[in-house]
Amino acid sequence: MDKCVQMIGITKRFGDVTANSQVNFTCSPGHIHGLIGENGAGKTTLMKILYGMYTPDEGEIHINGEPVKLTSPKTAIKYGIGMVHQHFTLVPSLSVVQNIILGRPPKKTGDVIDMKAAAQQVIQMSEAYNLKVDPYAIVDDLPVGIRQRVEILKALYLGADILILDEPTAILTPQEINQLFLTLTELKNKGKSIILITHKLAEMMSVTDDITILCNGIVTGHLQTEKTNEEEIARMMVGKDTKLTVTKQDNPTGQVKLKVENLNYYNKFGVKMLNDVSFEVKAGEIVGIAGVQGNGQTELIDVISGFERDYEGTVVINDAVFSPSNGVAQRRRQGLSHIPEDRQTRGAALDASLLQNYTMSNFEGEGEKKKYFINWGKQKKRAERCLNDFKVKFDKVEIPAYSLSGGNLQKSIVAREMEMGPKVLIAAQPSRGVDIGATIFIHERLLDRRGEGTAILLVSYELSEIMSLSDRILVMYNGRIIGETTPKESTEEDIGLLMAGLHNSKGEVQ
Amino acid sequence: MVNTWIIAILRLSAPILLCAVGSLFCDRAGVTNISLEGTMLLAAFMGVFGSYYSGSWIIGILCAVAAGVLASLFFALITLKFGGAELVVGFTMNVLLDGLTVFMLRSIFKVSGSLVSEKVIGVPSFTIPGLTKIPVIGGFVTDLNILVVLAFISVFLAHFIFKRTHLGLKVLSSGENPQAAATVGINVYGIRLLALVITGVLCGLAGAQLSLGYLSMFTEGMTAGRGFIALVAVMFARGSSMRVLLVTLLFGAAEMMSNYLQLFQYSSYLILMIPYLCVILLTLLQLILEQQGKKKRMISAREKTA
Repeated sequence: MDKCVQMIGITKRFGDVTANSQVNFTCSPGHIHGLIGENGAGKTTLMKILYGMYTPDEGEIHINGEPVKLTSPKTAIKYGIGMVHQHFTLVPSLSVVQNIILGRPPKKTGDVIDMKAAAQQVIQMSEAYNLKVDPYAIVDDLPVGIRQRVEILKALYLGADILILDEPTAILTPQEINQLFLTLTELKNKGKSIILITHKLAEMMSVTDDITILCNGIVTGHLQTEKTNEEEIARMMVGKDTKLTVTKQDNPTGQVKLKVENLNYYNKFGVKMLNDVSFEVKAGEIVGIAGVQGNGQTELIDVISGFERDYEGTVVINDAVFSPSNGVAQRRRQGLSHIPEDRQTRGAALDASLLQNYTMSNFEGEGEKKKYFINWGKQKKRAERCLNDFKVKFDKVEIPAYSLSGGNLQKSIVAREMEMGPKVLIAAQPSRGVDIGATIFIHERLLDRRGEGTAILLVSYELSEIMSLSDRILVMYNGRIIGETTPKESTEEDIGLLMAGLHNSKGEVQ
Repeated sequence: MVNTWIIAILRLSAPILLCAVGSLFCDRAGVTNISLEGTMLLAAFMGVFGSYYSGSWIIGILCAVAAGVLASLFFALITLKFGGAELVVGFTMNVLLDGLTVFMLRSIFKVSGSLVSEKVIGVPSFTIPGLTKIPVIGGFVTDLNILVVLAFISVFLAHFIFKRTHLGLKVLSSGENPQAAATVGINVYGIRLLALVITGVLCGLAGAQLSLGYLSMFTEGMTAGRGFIALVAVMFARGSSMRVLLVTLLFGAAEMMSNYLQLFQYSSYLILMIPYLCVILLTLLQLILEQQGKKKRMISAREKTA
């Protein structure tokens, strides 16, 4: 009776794929329970079963000791289970209150909603749990951190005692993550049980009481947080010993391969997003752009890659000078490759096959004349070899890109972009939403390219990624490069200050 | 003069308004139903059919509503139940129902083109006495019928439902984020089915207004694009029932004007283009206004955070 959730022998298959196999999962009341595993390990599937969205093929579920059949979210809600999904389930055009009460609004007569009472309840709850929201704001106008609060309030409003959060930190800034963890601790102190899905080790260690580790749909460990360490968890996650960071050798640098001069760019609303940006990247060098999201990084990438053509200044790629009238294709032909920030919208055509996605940029194959027709037979062999080299897991190259997990899809994009032997490579958030194994793999490939003399511009919002890969670091703030340093000269804290627009004490910045 | 104009506008907007309010429910629930035109046409025919054989305009209206609901259920069966593509099914139904009404007109009534008969009893019109002579106000109380009144009630009722009731919230959430609706236990499928039935009822009334409202006759293809105009009105309105009302009245006015101008020596084909020209001009206007509004909002949002 001392467990609020008991899932016993849960098995769930989707066609030939077994997402969960004989999984046992228990959660104690008033605890924060971490569910950790690599992408595609079956964490979300397990929790969707608990929330009644999937029916398990085998196994049983007990809530507070009572065996239950959870056939829909509605029944799960009845048993006090709430879930905050990775992709928010809010209605953007409705207000905060309307979203929170959507499932079960207080009513006056008949079907008419008592909006006053509803707003009152929301305000009370938001004070009780220290989750500040403006009840009348329209959700569409709110930043993601606040939207997440609305989601949590919604679950609590529906009477959740067991709250499942699926990768809640993936979209938050460090400050928002701290705030979220404070909230979770507060909820725990008020007696709620929390299940936290994540693949980030550090946050798992900092906030949870117990941890369950999933690997390929199988539970590989139940641990108490205070009796374990990151290495042990990492080992159970991937099923073998892994080192957590890459090691970087010194690398001789060559000629300047990428040079931008006096870039100025206004977005379509007239806001100046790039302010006189100049820098260069040499062959065999990784230059990292550090900065808080939204300080012009996206615009910088778009301008260099030729997506955004309405800028002032010059871009020099591999000794060729490009004016704003030169588009993406011309730049790519000059040896520019680009791992885009957002693999879902720019990195891959999700409905197209892996083969088609590969062919999009690697059609003009080496040793062949430029052709107007595609030799699919050859192309297929090439794609298979390329994807296998990058350890992308796939049945055959004809499957659509959306059927790959996030990490695999990212690897396939990295594979494609590195295939042409780029002179200049823009790597924008190359490990975003990717598990440890794949992150390390991608980092190693980037370092390989660096060794082969590619000039790499790395843009990332994860400072640790910048620190471990870059030879030089440029800090971007408000559309300007406000500082330059190296990982050896500065600590994460120094760079953090710069990222916040504060000059550091050493006076290294102008 | 003003009063005659108002009477004409109300009369001409009523079928579009009924149809548009119906479409609003579909649209908000996340169903793209373009079969309004055909549904309304079938209802117009069935209204005349019912009235002809029963001698009662009430039976006529009921037949029209039944036809509207049946057509909607057919749409629901193919799209919601079997997963057919909404646009394909909607378009096909329009062509299909157009043909069906022509076929029935010829095989049942042995006429082609139009059915005009004394046996078709129209919906009686009434006037609230004493006010007719007052300018403007008089226009709103003269020569009304139950369907015109229902049309204007329906739009305010829809406004109330969307703003104040749980049903309204359920419809809105099913359309905008079905997953959000489903995860709090709302039956999205059921809500969409209900929305389609409401559309069917209102399209039925719209059809009845066309064939029994003031004319008491059925003409092949008599909806003449009103179903599509209703769709356009809903798209303009972006979900606001009050804007649906405004846009619909504007279309009514444009149609009235084209009728009025036909009395003069202008080419009638040119004049019949007026309502549709209005649609295109409105589209442009809306695009311009929206872009400016968005620009302002984005800039102010940026200033607030900076």
